[in-house]
Order: sequence, then structure tokens, then C-alpha cells
Amino acid sequence: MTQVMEPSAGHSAGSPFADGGPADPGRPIPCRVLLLEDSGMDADLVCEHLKMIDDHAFDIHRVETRQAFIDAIADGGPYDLILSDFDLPDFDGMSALAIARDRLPRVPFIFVSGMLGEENAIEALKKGATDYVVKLRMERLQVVVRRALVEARDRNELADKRAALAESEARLRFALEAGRLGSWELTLATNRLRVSSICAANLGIADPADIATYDRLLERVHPDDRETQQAMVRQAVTSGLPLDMEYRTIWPDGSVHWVQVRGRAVYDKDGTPTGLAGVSLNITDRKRAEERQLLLLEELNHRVKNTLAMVQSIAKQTLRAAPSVEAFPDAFQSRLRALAQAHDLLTRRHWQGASLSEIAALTLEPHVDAGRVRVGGPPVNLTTGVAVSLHLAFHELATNAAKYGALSAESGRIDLDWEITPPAGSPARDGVASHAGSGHSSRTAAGALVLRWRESGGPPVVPPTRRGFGSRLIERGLAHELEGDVALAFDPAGVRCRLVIPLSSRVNPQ
Amino acid sequence: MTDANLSNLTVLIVEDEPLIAMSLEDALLDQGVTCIGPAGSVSAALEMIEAGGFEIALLDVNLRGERVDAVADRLAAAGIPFIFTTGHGAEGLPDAHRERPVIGKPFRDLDITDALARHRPR
Repeated sequence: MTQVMEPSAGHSAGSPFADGGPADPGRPIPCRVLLLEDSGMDADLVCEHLKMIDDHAFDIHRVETRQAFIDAIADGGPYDLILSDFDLPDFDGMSALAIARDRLPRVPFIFVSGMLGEENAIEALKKGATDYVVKLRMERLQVVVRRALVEARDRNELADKRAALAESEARLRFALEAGRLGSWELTLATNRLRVSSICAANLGIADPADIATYDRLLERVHPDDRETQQAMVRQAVTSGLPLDMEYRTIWPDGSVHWVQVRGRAVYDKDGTPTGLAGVSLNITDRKRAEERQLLLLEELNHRVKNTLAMVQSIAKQTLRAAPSVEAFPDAFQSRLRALAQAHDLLTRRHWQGASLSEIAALTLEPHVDAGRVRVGGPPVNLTTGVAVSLHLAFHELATNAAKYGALSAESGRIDLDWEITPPAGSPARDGVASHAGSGHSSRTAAGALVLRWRESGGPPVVPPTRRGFGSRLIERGLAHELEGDVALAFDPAGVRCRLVIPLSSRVNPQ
Repeated sequence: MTDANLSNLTVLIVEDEPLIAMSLEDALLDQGVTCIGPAGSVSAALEMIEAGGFEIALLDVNLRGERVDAVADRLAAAGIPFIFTTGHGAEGLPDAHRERPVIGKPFRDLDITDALARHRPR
């Protein structure tokens, strides 16, 4: 067996490793050593030499057998160093090395052996031993141990930093993904662009490699926004101020989406801008919501103005028809309340219209509950405008009935019912004055809603000497708006009103 | 009091809200103006333009959710003056007719009669 191979001639005392100790020489670094050695004499020798390394305080745990070594590795740590004999009665150094590498891969492992052939030495180093010292040259132990410890500390520090960096990167990636933030980086000199997959997805691109340059990105920007986009990027580079912009992007399928981009210029040591980096966010939903809100505001403004104009009309016409100034407030307020009730109902239905029975119930409910009014008919959908007009008309009829008609007498009652008539054949007239609408030829082409209001049991009806607001609203307003026929009759037995309204998208059976 | 400028005038009212249409009619009838309509939809308005017999029109910008561009186009083509009435701002007007007179809702009767006197054909 050939003898003693010195691994590297330069590694002797006074080598660069001499300065590998701690910054404070007054406080030796604690170092726990696991020593696998069956010979007590050899163990003492090792301890003697370790004690000569004066900037470390060694705490040596000696084991002699395979089982003791395995137990120590499992429970006896943490160790900063493992020293091992090569040949043991029940064990061998290479097996010990394999166990140590498996369980404690970061702890330096040094063979200290009486004899170690060249082949064994090479094999040991290949299998992960840190170094070896032959007992004939035990003075090398100090240098080898010190170097191994310093290198291990450096290695561990680096590994810790790497692990921390990886963890921090993972956290950042998680945050970006959770926030659906894409990240990007532009190199100015080459115009190269690196984008994350979320960033690419914000532009409707599956593969980030498809937008590897700034020019490829610009192709995806909406033509109307391209110039602004470029100007803002230039400005961020020259001014150093944060980039914050929103622009439209056209996806490969032709759909338009909104992207918000935030970033900042990157500079080299001389302060020359080298690139731009930042994040991107798909803000299409937010933009759509903003657009919807704007539309809603416009619609609200329109509706308020229209309602004010209606209130104005009600005021003027109530005043015009009022028998006296004293009669005005009550009549006006009652009509305003009817208008407000209709708005309440429509708001509950999200301004998507209302059913005829809901509208009929709105004013007549108290009388229905008292058994004075019977309401019935098949389901009919009304648009908002028709619902408001019909409600105001019912309100006029009910107010008149309460003052002069069926609801003014104990025994009086009202029947309000309706039916849908088929398109063919026009319903028979019931002999009362008829007020035609604006004369549309398509009046009954789609069938019609025939609605009847019949009062009975009230005092004898005296026809009014002049048409009031209610009659006018029903006979002219409603007839015009619904393009239907309206017949309002002041029959002595009770007021009767008959509406024939052609079915349309505004008035349709459910 | 009758404004001399409104004598012998016939006006087409295009308005989908019956209460507002009735109120307009009242104001105009008081001034001795003859009213045609009200037309509450684009198709009804086009039919009434076809029938003719009026000198000027009051035109609501939106009829049951439908824009009145087609009605304004037809009136302009026929050389009949018209005045928009709207609850929207000026931005709601048909693009081709932004130069036309506009009266915002709610309006005073005087706003209507003044505008009719000013814009009726001479």
C-alpha cells in the first residue's frame, strides 16, 4: 500500500486560511466535534492537536462503535465537525462517511487515519470527505480542521442566503400571482423585453417569448393609445419619475382589454438609465365598471330631469283644473305621491318594468283588502313608462271613485279586470264614447290587452261639466302613449273605463 | 296674452311622456297655436311628418329609449325647422344636428313660445 498523499502542497500553516478566524480573537468559536475513534491513545492525540487551534473551543464527543456513531448522528448534534478513523473493528470509515453525508451533508468530514492508501484517499474525497490527515503527520490536523471549518461556515452562510433568497422570491411570486400582477423588465440598449406569464396573459398572449421586444409589445397596444404609451415610457426613462399608465390592448381574438402598468427606470452606477422594470395588471373589469357607472349617471340625470318635467306638468295641469286655489295642494300632493309610489315599485324591480297586477295593486291595495275592489287578469308585463302612466291613470280613477264614485258609498265596489284578446277580429264596442289613439294600423295585429274598470253600488254618477286632469290624462295621454283605444264613460250606474291596448314589447303577456 | 309671432302657427309635438306633451299643448293652445301630435315614437313621428300640415316641430331627443336622429334627418331634409327638447345635455343631440336650438327639461312655457317665435319660418 503506498503511503501518505499530501493533497495540496500549499496548504500549510501561514496559508491564507490563517485569517479565517473570528473577528474577535478574545472569544474562541465554540465547535462541537464528533470523533469516531476506537483507540484511546489516538483519540487523545487528536484532542491534543485540536487544543492547539487557539481561536476555537472544541467540545469533543467520542464514539467507538457503529451503533454509537449512528445514534450520535441521529440525536447527538448539532455537530460542526466529524473526525473519523478509517479502519475500525466493527465498522469502516467509508460507511461512516456515507451515513454522515446522508444525514449531515453540511458538516465537514475529515478522516484521521494511521494509514490511508492513495486509492482510498481519492475514493474518500470522491464520496464527499472534506479532507484527510495521516497520523504520522498529525501536525497538519490544525490547518486542515481550521480550513474545513472556515469553508463550511462560508458554505453554510451562502446556502442560508440562497435559501432566504429563494424563499423571498417564492413569496414575491406568490404575491404577484395572488394579486394577478404580471412583472416585466425592459433593457434599453437592446430593446429586449422579459415578461412573466401573467404579464403576457394580460395582453392575451400565452407564451411570454412572443413579446420578447418592446416593438412586439407595441404591436399589441391599441393604435389610439400607442403614441401616448411610447411617450410615457420615454418620460419615465428621462425623468426618473415612476411610470403609471393605463392603455388598451387588442388581444389576438380582436377583443379590447385594459392594462395598467406601473414601473420605474433602472440606472447603472453612473446614473445612466439602462432599463425599465415594473408590474402590469388587467383592469378591464374596473374600466367596464367605470364606463357602466358613467352611463348610469347620465341615465340618472336624464331620469331626474324627466321626472322634474313630469312634476312640473302635473303642477301646471292640476292648477289649471283646480276649482279653487285651496283645492290645489291636496290634489297636487296626492298626484306626487302616486308618482313616487310608482318610482318605488320600479326601483324594487331595478327599472326593468313591472307587472299589470303589481301596478293595479299599488293604488287599490287598501280597497282590495277591504273587499271593495276586485282585481284580476292574466300576467302582463309592462315597461317602466307604461307602468308609470297606467299607475297615474288608476290613481285618478281611484281618487275620483273615493270622492264621488263607488268608494264614496258603503255598498259601492269596483271591478278591475283584464284579458288578452287574440289578433284576429277587433273587440266589440260597448256603446260608449270612444277616443282613438294616434290611429296606428297595427293596432290589433299582435292581439290586444283589454282592460275594464267598472264601478257599481255608488251614488248616481253625474257627468262632469268639464274634463278634469284625470279624464284628460286617461283619454288623451294614455290613449296616445299606448297607441290604443280608451273609452271613459260616466254611466249613471257607475264610472266605466275600457282600454284596448295593442300588445307590443311594451305591453306583453308573460 | 297672445304673442303676435305665434299667430297662425301649427306645431308638431314629438314627446313620449304624455304628461309633458299635455302640458306643452296647454301652453301652446293658450297662445293660439295649433298642435299636431303628440308623437310618442319615431315611427309615429315619421308618419306625422309624412302627413305634413305644420310649420315647425318640437322634438324630444329620446323616445322610449330610441334616438330621434331619423326624425331630425327627415325634418331637415324637408326644410322644416325644429327645436330639440331634452333632459340630457347637449351631448345627447344627434351629431348631424348639433347646431339646432335646444331647450333643456324642465322648461318654462316662455322658453318654448320664445323659441317657436324665433325659429318659425318667416
